[in-house]
Amino acid sequence: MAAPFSIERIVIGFALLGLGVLWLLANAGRVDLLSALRMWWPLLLVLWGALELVAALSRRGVHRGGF
Amino acid sequence: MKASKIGLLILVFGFGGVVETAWSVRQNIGFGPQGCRVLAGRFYGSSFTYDAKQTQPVPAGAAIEVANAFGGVTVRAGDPGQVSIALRKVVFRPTEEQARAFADQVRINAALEGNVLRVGTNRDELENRSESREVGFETHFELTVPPATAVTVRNEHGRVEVADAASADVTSSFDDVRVQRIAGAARLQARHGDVLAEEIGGDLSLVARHGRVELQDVKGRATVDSEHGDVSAARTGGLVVRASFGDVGVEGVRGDLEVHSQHGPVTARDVSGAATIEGSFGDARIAKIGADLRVEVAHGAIDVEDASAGVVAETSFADVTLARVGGAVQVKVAHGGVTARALEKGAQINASGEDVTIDGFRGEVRVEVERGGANLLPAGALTDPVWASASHGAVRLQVPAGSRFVLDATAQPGEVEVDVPGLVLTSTTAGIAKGEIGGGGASVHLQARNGDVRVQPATTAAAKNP
Repeated sequence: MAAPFSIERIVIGFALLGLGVLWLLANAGRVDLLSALRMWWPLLLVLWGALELVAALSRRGVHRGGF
Repeated sequence: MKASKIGLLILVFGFGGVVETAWSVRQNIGFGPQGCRVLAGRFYGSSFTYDAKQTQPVPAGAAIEVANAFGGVTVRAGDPGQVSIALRKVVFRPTEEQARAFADQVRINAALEGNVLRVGTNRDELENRSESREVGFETHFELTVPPATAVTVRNEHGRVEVADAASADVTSSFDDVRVQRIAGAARLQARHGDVLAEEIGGDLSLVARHGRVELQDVKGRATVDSEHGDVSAARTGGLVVRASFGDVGVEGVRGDLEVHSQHGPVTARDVSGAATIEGSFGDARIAKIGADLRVEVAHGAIDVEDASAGVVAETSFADVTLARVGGAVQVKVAHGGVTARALEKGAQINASGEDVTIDGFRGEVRVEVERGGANLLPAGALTDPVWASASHGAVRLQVPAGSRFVLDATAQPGEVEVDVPGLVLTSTTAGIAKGEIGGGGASVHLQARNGDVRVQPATTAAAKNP
Protein backbone atom coordinates (compact mmCIF):
# COMPACT_ATOMS: atom_id res chain seq x y z
CA MET A 1 0.00 0.00 0.00
CA ALA A 2 1.39 3.41 -0.99
CA ALA A 3 2.32 5.88 1.80
CA PRO A 4 -0.09 8.82 2.17
CA PHE A 5 0.83 12.16 0.53
CA SER A 6 2.77 14.29 3.10
CA ILE A 7 3.81 17.87 2.37
CA GLU A 8 6.12 17.96 5.38
CA ARG A 9 8.10 15.02 4.07
CA ILE A 10 8.44 16.68 0.66
CA VAL A 11 9.69 19.92 2.29
CA ILE A 12 12.18 18.03 4.43
CA GLY A 13 13.26 16.10 1.37
CA PHE A 14 13.89 19.24 -0.64
CA ALA A 15 15.68 20.84 2.32
CA LEU A 16 18.04 17.89 2.71
CA LEU A 17 18.57 17.77 -1.04
CA GLY A 18 19.36 21.49 -1.22
CA LEU A 19 21.62 21.37 1.84
CA GLY A 20 23.51 18.39 0.43
CA VAL A 21 24.02 20.01 -2.97
CA LEU A 22 25.20 23.30 -1.45
CA TRP A 23 27.57 21.49 0.92
CA LEU A 24 28.96 19.49 -1.96
CA LEU A 25 29.51 22.64 -4.04
CA ALA A 26 31.11 24.33 -1.04
CA ASN A 27 33.53 21.42 -0.57
CA ALA A 28 34.34 21.66 -4.26
CA GLY A 29 35.14 25.34 -3.77
CA ARG A 30 32.34 26.52 -6.04
CA VAL A 31 30.21 28.40 -3.50
CA ASP A 32 30.49 29.93 -0.05
CA LEU A 33 28.23 27.68 2.03
CA LEU A 34 27.10 30.32 4.55
CA SER A 35 26.43 32.93 1.86
CA ALA A 36 24.47 30.42 -0.21
CA LEU A 37 22.44 29.21 2.77
CA ARG A 38 21.67 32.78 3.79
CA MET A 39 20.60 33.56 0.24
CA TRP A 40 18.43 30.50 -0.41
CA TRP A 41 16.96 29.31 2.89
CA PRO A 42 13.70 31.31 2.49
CA LEU A 43 13.06 29.17 -0.63
CA LEU A 44 11.97 26.43 1.79
CA LEU A 45 9.07 28.61 2.89
CA VAL A 46 8.17 29.37 -0.73
CA LEU A 47 8.25 25.67 -1.63
CA TRP A 48 6.20 24.69 1.39
CA GLY A 49 3.62 27.36 0.70
CA ALA A 50 3.32 26.30 -2.94
CA LEU A 51 2.83 22.66 -1.93
CA GLU A 52 0.14 23.62 0.59
CA LEU A 53 -1.68 25.58 -2.13
CA VAL A 54 -1.50 22.68 -4.59
CA ALA A 55 -2.75 20.28 -1.91
CA ALA A 56 -5.65 22.55 -1.02
CA LEU A 57 -6.68 22.96 -4.68
CA SER A 58 -6.41 19.20 -5.25
CA ARG A 59 -8.70 18.46 -2.30
CA ARG A 60 -11.20 20.97 -3.62
CA GLY A 61 -11.10 19.28 -7.10
CA VAL A 62 -11.67 15.83 -5.53
CA HIS A 63 -14.70 17.08 -3.59
CA ARG A 64 -16.21 18.72 -6.70
CA GLY A 65 -15.31 16.35 -9.56
CA GLY A 66 -14.96 13.14 -7.68
CA PHE A 67 -11.54 12.21 -8.96
CA MET B 1 -2.86 22.62 12.29
CA LYS B 2 -1.12 19.30 12.68
CA ALA B 3 1.71 18.96 15.16
CA SER B 4 4.02 17.85 12.36
CA LYS B 5 3.43 21.13 10.51
CA ILE B 6 4.09 23.19 13.64
CA GLY B 7 7.24 21.21 14.26
CA LEU B 8 8.43 21.74 10.72
CA LEU B 9 7.65 25.46 10.89
CA ILE B 10 9.76 25.79 14.04
CA LEU B 11 12.52 23.76 12.37
CA VAL B 12 12.58 25.96 9.24
CA PHE B 13 12.58 29.23 11.12
CA GLY B 14 15.14 27.92 13.58
CA PHE B 15 17.38 26.93 10.71
CA GLY B 16 16.95 30.38 9.12
CA GLY B 17 17.72 32.07 12.41
CA VAL B 18 20.92 30.07 12.86
CA VAL B 19 22.04 30.91 9.33
CA GLU B 20 21.30 34.62 9.73
CA THR B 21 23.07 34.77 13.10
CA ALA B 22 26.11 32.97 11.74
CA TRP B 23 26.22 35.37 8.82
CA SER B 24 25.98 38.41 11.09
CA VAL B 25 28.71 37.15 13.40
CA ARG B 26 30.99 36.35 10.48
CA GLN B 27 30.71 39.90 9.24
CA ASN B 28 32.25 41.13 12.48
CA ILE B 29 34.88 38.54 13.15
CA GLY B 30 38.00 38.24 11.11
CA PHE B 31 40.92 35.87 11.18
CA GLY B 32 43.94 36.91 9.25
CA PRO B 33 47.54 38.05 9.39
CA GLN B 34 46.58 40.61 12.04
CA GLY B 35 45.27 37.91 14.34
CA CYS B 36 41.74 37.42 15.52
CA ARG B 37 39.55 40.47 15.01
CA VAL B 38 36.36 40.40 17.04
CA LEU B 39 33.89 43.25 16.55
CA ALA B 40 36.77 45.71 16.21
CA GLY B 41 35.42 47.79 13.38
CA ARG B 42 37.29 49.27 10.47
CA PHE B 43 39.79 51.31 12.45
CA TYR B 44 41.92 48.42 13.59
CA GLY B 45 45.33 47.01 12.90
CA SER B 46 48.23 48.52 11.04
CA SER B 47 47.79 51.95 9.52
CA PHE B 48 49.77 54.17 7.14
CA THR B 49 49.80 57.94 6.91
CA TYR B 50 49.89 60.09 3.77
CA ASP B 51 49.78 63.84 3.34
CA ALA B 52 48.15 66.02 0.72
CA LYS B 53 48.23 69.79 0.37
CA GLN B 54 46.28 72.30 -1.62
CA THR B 55 46.11 76.08 -1.76
CA GLN B 56 42.93 77.84 -2.76
CA PRO B 57 42.76 81.57 -3.52
CA VAL B 58 39.72 83.22 -1.97
CA PRO B 59 38.24 86.72 -2.28
CA ALA B 60 38.37 89.10 0.64
CA GLY B 61 35.72 88.37 3.25
CA ALA B 62 35.14 84.80 2.07
CA ALA B 63 33.78 82.38 4.66
CA ILE B 64 35.03 78.82 5.17
CA GLU B 65 32.90 75.73 5.70
CA VAL B 66 34.64 72.49 6.59
CA ALA B 67 32.82 69.16 6.61
CA ASN B 68 34.69 66.14 7.86
CA ALA B 69 34.34 62.85 9.72
CA PHE B 70 36.77 60.50 11.44
CA GLY B 71 39.57 62.99 11.84
CA GLY B 72 40.43 66.30 13.40
CA VAL B 73 39.92 69.77 12.00
CA THR B 74 42.23 72.64 12.88
CA VAL B 75 41.62 76.13 11.53
CA ARG B 76 44.06 78.98 12.16
CA ALA B 77 44.66 82.42 10.74
CA GLY B 78 47.30 82.70 8.01
CA ASP B 79 48.02 84.85 5.00
CA PRO B 80 45.30 86.96 3.41
CA GLY B 81 43.83 86.00 0.03
CA GLN B 82 44.30 82.26 0.26
CA VAL B 83 43.37 79.16 2.18
CA SER B 84 46.02 76.51 2.71
CA ILE B 85 44.58 73.05 3.17
CA ALA B 86 46.67 70.21 4.55
CA LEU B 87 45.07 66.79 4.69
CA ARG B 88 46.63 63.93 6.62
CA LYS B 89 45.17 60.60 5.56
CA VAL B 90 45.50 57.61 7.86
CA VAL B 91 44.51 54.36 6.15
CA PHE B 92 44.00 51.09 8.01
CA ARG B 93 45.16 48.30 5.69
CA PRO B 94 47.36 45.26 6.27
CA THR B 95 50.06 46.32 3.77
CA GLU B 96 51.60 49.59 2.69
CA GLU B 97 50.73 48.90 -0.96
CA GLN B 98 47.05 48.44 -0.18
CA ALA B 99 47.05 51.52 2.06
CA ARG B 100 48.75 53.70 -0.56
CA ALA B 101 46.38 52.51 -3.29
CA PHE B 102 43.45 53.46 -1.14
CA ALA B 103 44.95 56.74 0.06
CA ASP B 104 45.41 57.81 -3.55
CA GLN B 105 41.64 57.68 -3.91
CA VAL B 106 41.04 59.97 -0.92
CA ARG B 107 40.87 63.54 -2.24
CA ILE B 108 40.42 67.06 -0.92
CA ASN B 109 37.22 68.64 -2.19
CA ALA B 110 37.47 72.43 -2.11
CA ALA B 111 35.03 74.54 -4.06
CA LEU B 112 34.26 78.24 -3.87
CA GLU B 113 30.49 78.73 -3.98
CA GLY B 114 29.65 82.40 -3.96
CA ASN B 115 31.61 83.83 -1.08
CA VAL B 116 31.94 80.54 0.76
CA LEU B 117 34.78 78.07 0.36
CA ARG B 118 33.50 74.57 1.11
CA VAL B 119 36.20 72.10 2.12
CA GLY B 120 35.78 68.37 2.62
CA THR B 121 36.78 64.97 1.30
CA ASN B 122 35.22 62.42 -1.03
CA ARG B 123 34.53 60.12 1.95
CA ASP B 124 30.86 59.64 1.05
CA GLU B 125 31.75 58.55 -2.47
CA LEU B 126 34.36 56.08 -1.20
CA GLU B 127 32.10 54.63 1.46
CA ASN B 128 29.41 53.99 -1.10
CA ARG B 129 31.75 51.77 -3.11
CA SER B 130 31.43 48.13 -2.12
CA GLU B 131 35.17 47.45 -2.36
CA SER B 132 36.10 50.29 0.00
CA ARG B 133 33.17 50.14 2.38
CA GLU B 134 35.12 48.09 4.91
CA VAL B 135 38.29 50.18 4.78
CA GLY B 136 38.88 52.39 7.79
CA PHE B 137 40.50 55.73 7.09
CA GLU B 138 40.92 58.98 8.98
CA THR B 139 41.10 62.42 7.42
CA HIS B 140 42.71 65.17 9.50
CA PHE B 141 42.47 68.72 8.16
CA GLU B 142 44.75 71.63 9.03
CA LEU B 143 43.67 74.86 7.42
CA THR B 144 45.20 78.30 7.52
CA VAL B 145 42.67 80.91 6.47
CA PRO B 146 42.84 84.68 5.93
CA PRO B 147 42.61 86.72 9.13
CA ALA B 148 39.06 87.59 10.24
CA THR B 149 37.40 84.72 8.40
CA ALA B 150 34.01 83.35 9.39
CA VAL B 151 34.53 79.64 10.03
CA THR B 152 31.97 76.85 10.03
CA VAL B 153 32.97 73.29 10.92
CA ARG B 154 30.85 70.15 10.83
CA ASN B 155 32.81 67.22 12.15
CA GLU B 156 32.29 63.80 13.70
CA HIS B 157 34.75 61.57 15.50
CA GLY B 158 37.55 64.09 15.57
CA ARG B 159 38.93 66.99 17.54
CA VAL B 160 38.08 70.50 16.33
CA GLU B 161 40.25 73.57 16.97
CA VAL B 162 39.40 77.00 15.65
CA ALA B 163 41.47 80.06 16.53
CA ASP B 164 41.73 83.71 15.44
CA ALA B 165 38.56 83.73 13.32
CA ALA B 166 35.88 86.36 12.80
CA SER B 167 33.19 83.99 13.97
CA ALA B 168 32.90 80.29 14.65
CA ASP B 169 30.06 77.85 14.06
CA VAL B 170 31.13 74.38 15.13
CA THR B 171 29.20 71.14 15.36
CA SER B 172 31.21 68.18 16.52
CA SER B 173 30.89 64.82 18.22
CA PHE B 174 32.98 62.14 19.86
CA ASP B 175 35.98 64.35 20.52
CA ASP B 176 36.93 67.69 22.02
CA VAL B 177 36.21 71.18 20.69
CA ARG B 178 38.54 74.11 21.34
CA VAL B 179 37.61 77.59 20.11
CA GLN B 180 39.87 80.52 20.93
CA ARG B 181 40.24 84.18 20.08
CA ILE B 182 37.07 84.65 18.08
CA ALA B 183 36.36 88.28 17.25
CA GLY B 184 32.60 87.91 16.92
CA ALA B 185 29.96 85.40 17.83
CA ALA B 186 30.51 81.72 18.40
CA ARG B 187 27.98 78.93 18.11
CA LEU B 188 29.09 75.52 19.33
CA GLN B 189 27.38 72.15 19.50
CA ALA B 190 29.26 69.18 20.87
CA ARG B 191 28.43 65.63 21.87
CA HIS B 192 30.66 63.20 23.70
CA GLY B 193 33.58 65.54 24.04
CA ASP B 194 34.86 68.43 26.16
CA VAL B 195 34.45 72.01 25.00
CA LEU B 196 36.72 74.99 25.64
CA ALA B 197 35.64 78.45 24.45
CA GLU B 198 38.15 81.18 25.22
CA GLU B 199 38.34 84.88 24.34
CA ILE B 200 35.08 85.22 22.45
CA GLY B 201 34.40 88.79 21.33
CA GLY B 202 30.67 88.44 20.71
CA ASP B 203 27.83 86.31 21.97
CA LEU B 204 28.32 82.62 22.64
CA SER B 205 25.74 79.88 22.21
CA LEU B 206 26.84 76.46 23.34
CA VAL B 207 25.01 73.13 23.45
CA ALA B 208 26.94 70.24 24.95
CA ARG B 209 26.08 66.65 25.78
CA HIS B 210 28.29 64.22 27.65
CA GLY B 211 31.31 66.42 28.07
CA ARG B 212 32.85 69.12 30.19
CA VAL B 213 32.30 72.76 29.21
CA GLU B 214 34.75 75.54 29.99
CA LEU B 215 34.21 79.19 29.05
CA GLN B 216 36.66 82.01 29.63
CA ASP B 217 36.61 85.67 28.69
CA VAL B 218 33.38 85.95 26.73
CA LYS B 219 32.61 89.60 26.07
CA GLY B 220 29.05 89.12 24.84
CA ARG B 221 26.14 87.24 26.28
CA ALA B 222 26.71 83.53 26.78
CA THR B 223 24.11 80.78 26.72
CA VAL B 224 25.07 77.25 27.74
CA ASP B 225 22.88 74.16 27.52
CA SER B 226 24.70 71.19 29.00
CA GLU B 227 23.76 67.67 29.99
CA HIS B 228 25.98 65.08 31.64
CA GLY B 229 29.01 67.26 32.13
CA ASP B 230 30.44 69.97 34.36
CA VAL B 231 30.16 73.62 33.32
CA SER B 232 32.79 76.17 34.26
CA ALA B 233 32.53 79.81 33.21
CA ALA B 234 34.86 82.69 34.05
CA ARG B 235 34.73 86.33 33.02
CA THR B 236 31.68 86.38 30.79
CA GLY B 237 28.97 88.85 29.88
CA GLY B 238 25.42 88.03 30.88
CA LEU B 239 25.22 84.29 31.30
CA VAL B 240 22.43 81.73 31.06
CA VAL B 241 23.25 78.13 31.99
CA ARG B 242 20.94 75.18 31.69
CA ALA B 243 22.66 72.11 33.07
CA SER B 244 21.82 68.69 34.33
CA PHE B 245 23.90 65.94 35.87
CA GLY B 246 26.99 68.05 36.35
CA ASP B 247 28.58 70.74 38.49
CA VAL B 248 28.13 74.39 37.53
CA GLY B 249 30.85 76.87 38.48
CA VAL B 250 30.59 80.53 37.50
CA GLU B 251 32.96 83.39 38.35
CA GLY B 252 33.02 86.95 37.09
CA VAL B 253 29.79 87.71 35.24
CA ARG B 254 29.40 91.23 33.87
CA GLY B 255 25.63 91.33 33.79
CA ASP B 256 22.84 89.07 34.90
CA LEU B 257 23.25 85.40 35.69
CA GLU B 258 20.62 82.72 35.21
CA VAL B 259 21.30 79.11 36.14
CA HIS B 260 18.87 76.22 35.84
CA SER B 261 20.57 73.13 37.17
CA GLN B 262 19.41 69.63 37.96
CA HIS B 263 21.30 66.98 39.86
CA GLY B 264 24.40 69.01 40.47
CA PRO B 265 25.83 71.72 42.72
CA VAL B 266 26.03 75.36 41.63
CA THR B 267 28.78 77.78 42.59
CA ALA B 268 28.55 81.41 41.50
CA ARG B 269 30.89 84.21 42.48
CA ASP B 270 31.32 87.84 41.54
CA VAL B 271 28.22 88.65 39.51
CA SER B 272 27.70 92.33 38.74
CA GLY B 273 24.00 92.05 37.94
CA ALA B 274 21.06 90.09 39.25
CA ALA B 275 21.21 86.33 39.66
CA THR B 276 18.52 83.70 39.39
CA ILE B 277 19.53 80.20 40.35
CA GLU B 278 17.32 77.14 40.29
CA GLY B 279 18.71 73.78 41.24
CA SER B 280 18.00 70.38 42.63
CA PHE B 281 19.94 67.66 44.40
CA GLY B 282 23.00 69.84 44.82
CA ASP B 283 24.12 72.75 46.99
CA ALA B 284 24.14 76.35 45.79
CA ARG B 285 27.03 78.54 46.94
CA ILE B 286 26.82 82.15 45.86
CA ALA B 287 29.10 85.06 46.70
CA LYS B 288 29.43 88.70 45.67
CA ILE B 289 26.19 89.44 43.86
CA GLY B 290 25.68 93.03 42.70
CA ALA B 291 21.88 93.06 42.39
CA ASP B 292 18.92 90.99 43.49
CA LEU B 293 19.47 87.29 44.03
CA ARG B 294 16.81 84.64 43.76
CA VAL B 295 17.84 81.06 44.50
CA GLU B 296 15.58 78.05 44.66
CA VAL B 297 16.97 74.61 45.38
CA ALA B 298 15.32 71.30 46.09
CA HIS B 299 17.30 68.92 48.28
CA GLY B 300 20.35 71.13 48.59
CA ALA B 301 21.89 73.70 50.89
CA ILE B 302 22.08 77.41 50.07
CA ASP B 303 25.06 79.49 51.07
CA VAL B 304 25.07 83.20 50.21
CA GLU B 305 27.79 85.73 51.03
CA ASP B 306 28.11 89.40 50.23
CA ALA B 307 24.87 90.08 48.42
CA SER B 308 24.49 93.80 47.75
CA ALA B 309 20.73 93.72 47.25
CA GLY B 310 17.83 91.55 48.26
CA VAL B 311 17.94 87.77 48.55
CA VAL B 312 15.09 85.37 48.05
CA ALA B 313 16.07 81.82 48.97
CA GLU B 314 14.02 78.67 49.06
CA THR B 315 15.12 75.11 49.66
CA SER B 316 14.20 71.82 51.25
CA PHE B 317 15.93 69.13 53.24
CA ALA B 318 19.00 71.30 53.83
CA ASP B 319 20.07 74.51 55.55
CA VAL B 320 20.39 78.09 54.39
CA THR B 321 23.38 80.20 55.38
CA LEU B 322 23.49 83.92 54.69
CA ALA B 323 26.24 86.40 55.41
CA ARG B 324 26.41 90.11 54.74
CA VAL B 325 23.25 90.83 52.80
CA GLY B 326 22.55 94.46 51.90
CA GLY B 327 18.89 94.12 50.89
CA ALA B 328 15.75 92.52 52.19
CA VAL B 329 15.87 88.79 52.80
CA GLN B 330 13.14 86.24 52.22
CA VAL B 331 13.91 82.64 53.13
CA LYS B 332 11.71 79.59 53.08
CA VAL B 333 13.11 76.24 54.17
CA ALA B 334 11.29 72.96 54.52
CA HIS B 335 13.12 70.52 56.77
CA GLY B 336 16.11 72.72 57.38
CA GLY B 337 17.41 75.63 59.43
CA VAL B 338 18.76 79.10 58.74
CA THR B 339 21.93 80.75 59.95
CA ALA B 340 22.30 84.39 58.99
CA ARG B 341 24.86 87.06 59.79
CA ALA B 342 24.78 90.79 59.11
CA LEU B 343 21.41 91.36 57.42
CA GLU B 344 21.05 95.07 56.68
CA LYS B 345 17.40 95.40 55.66
CA GLY B 346 15.50 92.89 57.68
CA ALA B 347 14.33 89.39 56.94
CA GLN B 348 11.28 87.24 56.54
CA ILE B 349 12.17 83.63 57.35
CA ASN B 350 10.10 80.47 57.45
CA ALA B 351 11.82 77.27 58.49
CA SER B 352 11.00 73.86 59.89
CA GLY B 353 12.92 71.10 61.57
CA GLU B 354 15.98 73.15 62.57
CA ASP B 355 16.77 76.42 64.37
CA VAL B 356 16.88 79.89 62.88
CA THR B 357 19.73 82.08 64.06
CA ILE B 358 20.22 85.66 62.97
CA ASP B 359 23.39 87.23 64.27
CA GLY B 360 23.32 90.92 63.48
CA PHE B 361 20.29 92.34 61.74
CA ARG B 362 18.74 95.70 61.03
CA GLY B 363 15.25 96.44 59.86
CA GLU B 364 12.05 94.53 60.36
CA VAL B 365 12.37 90.82 61.07
CA ARG B 366 9.70 88.17 60.88
CA VAL B 367 10.64 84.59 61.76
CA GLU B 368 8.43 81.54 61.89
CA VAL B 369 9.90 78.18 62.88
CA GLU B 370 8.25 74.83 63.30
CA ARG B 371 10.02 72.17 65.32
CA GLY B 372 12.90 74.50 66.03
CA GLY B 373 13.97 77.59 67.93
CA ALA B 374 14.75 81.17 66.98
CA ASN B 375 17.82 83.09 68.15
CA LEU B 376 17.86 86.78 67.34
CA LEU B 377 20.65 89.30 67.93
CA PRO B 378 20.21 92.77 66.42
CA ALA B 379 23.23 94.53 64.94
CA GLY B 380 22.49 97.68 66.94
CA ALA B 381 19.82 99.22 69.09
CA LEU B 382 16.55 97.46 68.33
CA THR B 383 14.01 99.98 67.06
CA ASP B 384 12.32 98.04 64.21
CA PRO B 385 9.47 95.55 64.58
CA VAL B 386 10.27 91.93 65.32
CA TRP B 387 7.83 89.07 65.05
CA ALA B 388 9.16 85.65 66.00
CA SER B 389 7.22 82.46 66.48
CA ALA B 390 8.55 79.01 67.29
CA SER B 391 6.87 75.72 67.98
CA HIS B 392 8.66 72.99 69.90
CA GLY B 393 11.60 75.34 70.34
CA ALA B 394 12.69 78.39 72.28
CA VAL B 395 12.70 82.02 71.19
CA ARG B 396 15.70 84.01 72.35
CA LEU B 397 16.15 87.74 71.78
CA GLN B 398 19.27 89.63 72.82
CA VAL B 399 18.63 93.31 73.39
CA PRO B 400 21.48 95.80 72.73
CA ALA B 401 21.78 99.00 74.68
CA GLY B 402 19.68 101.92 73.44
CA SER B 403 16.84 99.75 72.15
CA ARG B 404 13.28 101.12 72.07
CA PHE B 405 10.32 98.81 71.65
CA VAL B 406 7.13 97.41 73.14
CA LEU B 407 7.40 93.77 74.17
CA ASP B 408 4.69 91.16 73.86
CA ALA B 409 6.03 87.70 74.78
CA THR B 410 4.04 84.51 75.06
CA ALA B 411 5.11 80.95 75.87
CA GLN B 412 2.35 78.38 76.12
CA PRO B 413 3.19 75.92 77.45
CA GLY B 414 6.51 77.36 78.55
CA GLU B 415 8.20 80.13 80.49
CA VAL B 416 8.86 83.72 79.63
CA GLU B 417 12.09 85.05 81.10
CA VAL B 418 12.81 88.76 80.72
CA ASP B 419 15.97 90.15 82.26
CA VAL B 420 17.00 93.35 80.51
CA PRO B 421 18.03 96.45 82.41
CA GLY B 422 15.58 99.25 81.64
CA LEU B 423 12.86 96.99 80.31
CA VAL B 424 9.76 97.67 82.39
CA LEU B 425 7.20 94.91 82.54
CA THR B 426 3.65 96.18 82.56
CA SER B 427 1.93 92.83 82.70
CA THR B 428 3.12 89.39 83.74
CA THR B 429 1.06 86.27 84.03
CA ALA B 430 1.93 82.63 83.57
CA GLY B 431 3.60 82.32 80.20
CA ILE B 432 2.89 85.92 79.18
CA ALA B 433 4.97 89.07 79.62
CA LYS B 434 4.34 92.57 78.33
CA GLY B 435 6.49 95.64 78.78
CA GLU B 436 8.52 98.34 77.10
CA ILE B 437 12.03 99.73 76.98
CA GLY B 438 13.30 103.19 76.06
CA GLY B 439 9.84 104.63 76.22
CA GLY B 440 8.39 102.15 73.72
CA GLY B 441 8.33 102.15 69.97
CA ALA B 442 8.15 99.32 67.51
CA SER B 443 6.33 96.13 68.39
CA VAL B 444 8.38 93.11 69.38
CA HIS B 445 6.20 90.04 69.44
CA LEU B 446 7.78 86.80 70.60
CA GLN B 447 5.77 83.62 70.75
CA ALA B 448 6.74 80.06 71.66
CA ARG B 449 4.54 77.00 71.60
CA ASN B 450 5.98 74.15 73.64
CA GLY B 451 9.07 76.20 74.40
CA ASP B 452 10.41 79.13 76.39
CA VAL B 453 10.91 82.78 75.55
CA ARG B 454 14.05 84.48 76.78
CA VAL B 455 14.74 88.19 76.46
CA GLN B 456 18.25 89.06 77.59
CA PRO B 457 20.76 91.85 77.25
CA ALA B 458 23.16 91.50 74.35
CA THR B 459 26.35 90.03 75.71
CA THR B 460 28.40 89.83 72.54
CA ALA B 461 28.83 92.16 69.62
CA ALA B 462 26.59 91.20 66.73
CA ALA B 463 27.98 90.51 63.28
CA LYS B 464 28.11 93.57 61.09
CA ASN B 465 28.73 94.32 57.48
CA PRO B 466 32.31 95.50 57.02
